[in-house]
Amino acid sequence: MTEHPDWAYAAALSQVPGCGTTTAFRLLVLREPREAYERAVAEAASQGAPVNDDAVSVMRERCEELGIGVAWVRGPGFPLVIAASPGPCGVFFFRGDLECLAGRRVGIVGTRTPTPSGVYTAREIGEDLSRTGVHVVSGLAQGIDGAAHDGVRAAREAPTAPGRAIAVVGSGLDVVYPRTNAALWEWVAHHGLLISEHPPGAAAEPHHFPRRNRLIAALSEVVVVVESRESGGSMSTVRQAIERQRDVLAVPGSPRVVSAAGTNLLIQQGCGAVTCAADILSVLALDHRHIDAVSRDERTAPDPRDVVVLEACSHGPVTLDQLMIATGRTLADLALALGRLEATGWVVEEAGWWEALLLRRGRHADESIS
Amino acid sequence: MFASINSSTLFGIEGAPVSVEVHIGAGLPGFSVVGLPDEACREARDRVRAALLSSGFEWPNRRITVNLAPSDRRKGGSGLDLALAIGILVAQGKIEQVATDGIGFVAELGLDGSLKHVPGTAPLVAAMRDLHVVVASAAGGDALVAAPRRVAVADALGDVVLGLQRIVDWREPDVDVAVEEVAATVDMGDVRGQPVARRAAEVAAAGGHNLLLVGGPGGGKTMLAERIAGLLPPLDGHDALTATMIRSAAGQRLGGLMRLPPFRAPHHSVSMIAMVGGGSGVVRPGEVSLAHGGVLFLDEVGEFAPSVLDALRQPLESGEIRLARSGVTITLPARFLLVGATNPCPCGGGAPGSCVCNDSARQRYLRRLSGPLLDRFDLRVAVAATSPADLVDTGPAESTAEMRSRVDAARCIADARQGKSNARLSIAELDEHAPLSVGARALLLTELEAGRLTGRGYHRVRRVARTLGDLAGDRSGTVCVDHVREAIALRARLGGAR
Repeated sequence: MTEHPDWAYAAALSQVPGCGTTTAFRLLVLREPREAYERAVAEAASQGAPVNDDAVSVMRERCEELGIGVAWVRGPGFPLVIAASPGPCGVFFFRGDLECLAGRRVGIVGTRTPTPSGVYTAREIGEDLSRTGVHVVSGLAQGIDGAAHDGVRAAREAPTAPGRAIAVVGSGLDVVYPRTNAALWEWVAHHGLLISEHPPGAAAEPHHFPRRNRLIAALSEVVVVVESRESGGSMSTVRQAIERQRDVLAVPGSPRVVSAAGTNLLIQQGCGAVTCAADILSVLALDHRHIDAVSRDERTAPDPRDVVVLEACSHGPVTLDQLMIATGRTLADLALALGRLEATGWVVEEAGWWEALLLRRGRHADESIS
Repeated sequence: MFASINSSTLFGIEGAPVSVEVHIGAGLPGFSVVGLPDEACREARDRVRAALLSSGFEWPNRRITVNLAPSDRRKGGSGLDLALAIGILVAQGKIEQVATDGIGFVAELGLDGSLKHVPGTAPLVAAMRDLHVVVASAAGGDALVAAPRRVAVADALGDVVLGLQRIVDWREPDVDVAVEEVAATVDMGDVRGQPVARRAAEVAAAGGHNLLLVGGPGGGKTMLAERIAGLLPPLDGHDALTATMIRSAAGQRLGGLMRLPPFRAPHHSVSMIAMVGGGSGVVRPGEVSLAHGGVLFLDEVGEFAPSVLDALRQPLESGEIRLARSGVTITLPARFLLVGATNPCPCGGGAPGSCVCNDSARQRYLRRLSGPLLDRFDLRVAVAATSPADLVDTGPAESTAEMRSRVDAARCIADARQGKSNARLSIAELDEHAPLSVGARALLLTELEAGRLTGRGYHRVRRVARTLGDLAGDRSGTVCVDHVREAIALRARLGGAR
């Protein structure tokens, strides 16, 4: 029988029938990977679920071919934060740089169906955190998750931004899910760290995501919920974070917006409210003075004629009808104003609903509450 | 022993003359019909026999052969019943052949000898241009629309025979068929507090632009759509006749010539045949043809079968639908204004962020809406429910008549310039009839480069901007920047693209 490196045994362990996360953790924490694997195989055989003899070499070839690394609990570079109870993790697959886990880490999560302003907020926070050297942990889902990492990508276009993207996903690292984030997925694998507990080829099953969420919670020092419904994946991440004594912060939203109901509920229950990256940095006790908000807003000031229209869209999404009634302007006039505002980035439109993007950055230093 | 009687049969929405030849001769008693009859034609034997007997005539116990000439085209329907009965009487010598010369017969027979209305009476009568035509009393109105001075009506087979024997005079239809100009019961004045949707309706009517209304339940999408037909110009002579023939061929009774643009709103469970027309043997016009010259309204457009929506492509592009069946290809007119309404997502949605659907349902819904279907709408407008204050406080809004006068003026300008509506301008014609001003060109370029406008959206926006210019009475020839802006605002971003 050929000898395989330790990591190959650790990787193959995740595919032995009947050997779940907890069993794998227990085996690996006490034994060398090869011994742990052989015990698990013997146990499986006694239950009548024999394992192929070449499972280890198949797994080894697969990982080498795809450039996927394996970290196990007693192996090099394994982050001990995820080996703690509850729900310890004994082995995971990764692409990218494990060094990312050494820095300060903030989790950003939220709904898959956010409002445009939620998307912009997540992107901005991701971008600003990256600029100040904080890594962003997220799940690469549609909506808020993707937007946060998109922000990190935007920041890292300038090579001075040291904060990187760490993504924990619920499928094998060669199974891109969701497809819409395929480009971001590859970008994270090349410039950050992509983590999965599932072996290559595993599909994105619904029951994988609560497990994925527990890793996001465990890997983050604080978890920021940008926009969330009252139930859903983000709220499960929040529960996991609380179980692990991680701080949870939430971005407040309008009470009229269903997709911000969860975050508003969290704030009501006493969780900290944040509106920008500077707030998060203060929770991490990091210097936030040089996040100067307004000076980095590259938008040209709105045309004075358009301020009334901008104001009318700043209380949440409105239709053209409502704008016409609110401002008393003609459609042609309104169309001109909205066109100018959209071109300069002050409003966005989706399915006929217009919404203002007023606070693109955090508070100005002078405006902070004394 | 031989008779030849004039009648006609329906192909699509046009009638074609048929002569019903009856031969009674020696042989085993029997009755056969040749000349490609359909089931209804073949069943005529039993109806005709019963009708003749109950009207007090004899049924010849001899060999009866009926030929429907020309014998190479399929004939359908029960409109040949009366001609058949008269043919048998002529062949028996009860009526002279000369008495039937110059007269056509279109009616179905009841077993008691009564005459009944047949679908498509108007085109059937129109097919017999040089003849006088006898129809059932109930069908008098339909027949008069097609042939004002050559129609006689009768209630029963016995009356027809008496007429032919010159014992009684022919009766003229006693219906009054003036032009059907019933005042529309719905008016734009009823739509309160939705200035953008109203404007979109006006633009749609003026330029012939297809309109998509997006919004949750209770937003008044259906109410608005019903009123758009009233904004369209009345059908002109040719179109009115076509629309009338279509309605008659679909089996509807007519009160006169149809001048009002029709409004059709098929349910989303509509089948392909019901939508585009067709059927085996007799081809019947579908919803697209019934909406000819008017509005076809598809509520919950995402719920229609994808194949049905796909079939709309040809009529939307060419204004007609070609139905190919074995042996015959029929072209039916189908030029309509398409008005669609849809919820933004299965739960009815509302403002972004207020939807409670799960992701997969949302994705599925968006996929059905996306792509080729969305591309067919020039105007896409979000419609939200009017606030109670607006509903109660605002007086009646501008009426249909006021809006129609602007629509008519805009249509006149477009007609004088290019002889067709703006929505039907090809890309080459756009450059000729709707050149962009310098500012408008720069604006469109910026929007395209910033990714806020797609290539398809570009041409649609240009057509709508042309219509906005026409509505404003702009005769400068070029399309100005303000109108392009407004056209962009009337094209809501859906699925990320505008």
